[in-house]
Amino acid sequence: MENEIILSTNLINKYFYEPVKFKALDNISFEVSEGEFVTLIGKSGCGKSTLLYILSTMDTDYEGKLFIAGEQITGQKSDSLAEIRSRSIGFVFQFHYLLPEFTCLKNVMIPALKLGRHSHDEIEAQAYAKLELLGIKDQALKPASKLSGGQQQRVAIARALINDPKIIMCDEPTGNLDSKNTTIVLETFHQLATQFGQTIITVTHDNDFAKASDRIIEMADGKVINHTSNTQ
Amino acid sequence: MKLKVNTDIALTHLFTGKKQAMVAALGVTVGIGIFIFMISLVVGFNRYSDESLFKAVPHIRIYQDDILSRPLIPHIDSGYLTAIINPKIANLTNTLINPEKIIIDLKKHQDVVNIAPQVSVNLFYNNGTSQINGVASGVNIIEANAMFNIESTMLAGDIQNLLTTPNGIMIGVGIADQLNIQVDDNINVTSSIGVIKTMKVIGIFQTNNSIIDKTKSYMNLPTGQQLLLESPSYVTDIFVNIKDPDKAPEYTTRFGKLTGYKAEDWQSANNQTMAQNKTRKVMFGSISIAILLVAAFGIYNIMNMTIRGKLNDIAILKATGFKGKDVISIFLIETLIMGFMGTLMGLLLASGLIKVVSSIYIGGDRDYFPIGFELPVFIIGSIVGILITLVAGYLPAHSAARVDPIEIFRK
Repeated sequence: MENEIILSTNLINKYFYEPVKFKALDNISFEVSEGEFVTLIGKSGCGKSTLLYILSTMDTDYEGKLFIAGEQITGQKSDSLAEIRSRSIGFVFQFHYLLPEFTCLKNVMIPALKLGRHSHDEIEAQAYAKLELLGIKDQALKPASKLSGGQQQRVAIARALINDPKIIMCDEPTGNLDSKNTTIVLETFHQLATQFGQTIITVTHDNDFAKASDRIIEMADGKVINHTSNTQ
Repeated sequence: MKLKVNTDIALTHLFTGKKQAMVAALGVTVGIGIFIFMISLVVGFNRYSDESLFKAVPHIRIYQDDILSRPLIPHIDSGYLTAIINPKIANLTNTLINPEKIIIDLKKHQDVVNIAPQVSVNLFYNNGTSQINGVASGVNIIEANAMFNIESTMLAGDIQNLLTTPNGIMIGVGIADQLNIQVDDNINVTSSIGVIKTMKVIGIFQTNNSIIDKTKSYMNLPTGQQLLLESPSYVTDIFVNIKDPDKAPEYTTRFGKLTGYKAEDWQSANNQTMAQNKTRKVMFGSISIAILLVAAFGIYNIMNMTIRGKLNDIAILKATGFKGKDVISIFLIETLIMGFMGTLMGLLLASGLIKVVSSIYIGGDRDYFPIGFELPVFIIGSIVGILITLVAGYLPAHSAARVDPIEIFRK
């Protein structure tokens, strides 16, 4: 399976200065191909979330270079980074992070409305479809704050999918989910990767979840210590 | 489309935080309401004081200025300096030469509304042994009435009677009280050059300016000329009213050149009134600006609190592709809506206050408090209301745009 490289990092270093200078990421270089389902694992504080924030283009304070779809991301202005995020990155956060005042449907629709690629009605239909994909269509018109943690998590995943991004990045997407819902999410991710060629990069603590992905990148003390391919 | 999402988010925020939005809007309401009310008060009061001033003072007065005597031989030689020690005022007469020509010239000017020539006579009013000194204006009563609206100040008698009574006189109420004179009584006047005349009081007026009421009288122009033993062409002043009294100073130099005499605008003739008007403006202006500042700080505070409570939301929006300027526009739309509603209610509040105050009875010649609905003030108030909310909302919105999502997510 020889796919194009969608994301690559070149010698990324990152320091924290508070309370003392500390090297959080140490010469991280790796590549991710299109349609690959990659998990980042490692103990707490090994730098995997920090790395994910850099990959997501939100954190710009690092050394080294980041490329997404052949375009150099490092050094771009915050407005153009926001555009890149809008267009090609879907993000699922560790603690669901929905907008509490809006309905689930609206939460899913907002990034698409922002991007403005489709009309309002089309976006609404797409949002329903994504919610259905994650099995929570019946909750669509409830305010986000009225949902359980697991349901919110799935709405957040639906939101990450709404613009059909090239890359979906998740920080502990199954942290709040029971085994049944975890399976739903896993199947969804596999489907996205294989059928639609979307790349998935996930930080997780769940070893079973990691084993189900295409590749595991294991980190420790800010370094990549192991690549494990799970291709059968 | 782009604007629609931002507006949508802003509206949802407003609806879920109705109470806070209302409090912020009410701050603007009070600020703008009081601001408009105060300014209307000043405008109304200044207009009232101008109006009562213009019952006795013309916009522009043209007269023969006093001239100091000058050496006849200006300059003999570079070694000499000609000078008059202790020079005297050298006017032979106070008359304006050929007043008809001046009046015709002035009438050609399109901004001139009224022209009234007059003879002013210093005189004594006598009744029995009591004597008051004062000033009489010899006028054409029709022209003078058009300018000063003398009719509205009349307590007794009719100004028309002056036209049919050659030796008629209208006196101020102060003179009438002091000399115990009523309409149709006779009064003796003695002019400054000693001419004595018995005149018939055909009217008594009250301007509510006690100095004028105690000294001033009106008579026919020829009577004034007779009291000074002058010819029918003798005129000491020409009064001119123009369309916009505030522009009077611009015309003085022009009219001065046109007529060859001194032209004086009412502002420089009434320094004290002008100073009072200015003081009022500054006083009320600073009070209302202080109130506006408090309202602005209210909005600023509430927006700051709102944004602090929404750091998570801002982080999510930025992570999902909203730019800094989108965040600014979301929060600016919120403040603008609050400011707009607040301003609208402020206009209502100001209208209510003005309505209430304008029905307060104060007596005098105005009866009710001099305040009215001033459209320009309302327009300025609305603009100011929107402007301060914009400024007060921009600062917190700007800081919201600089929220770093990473810092929020890490917590």
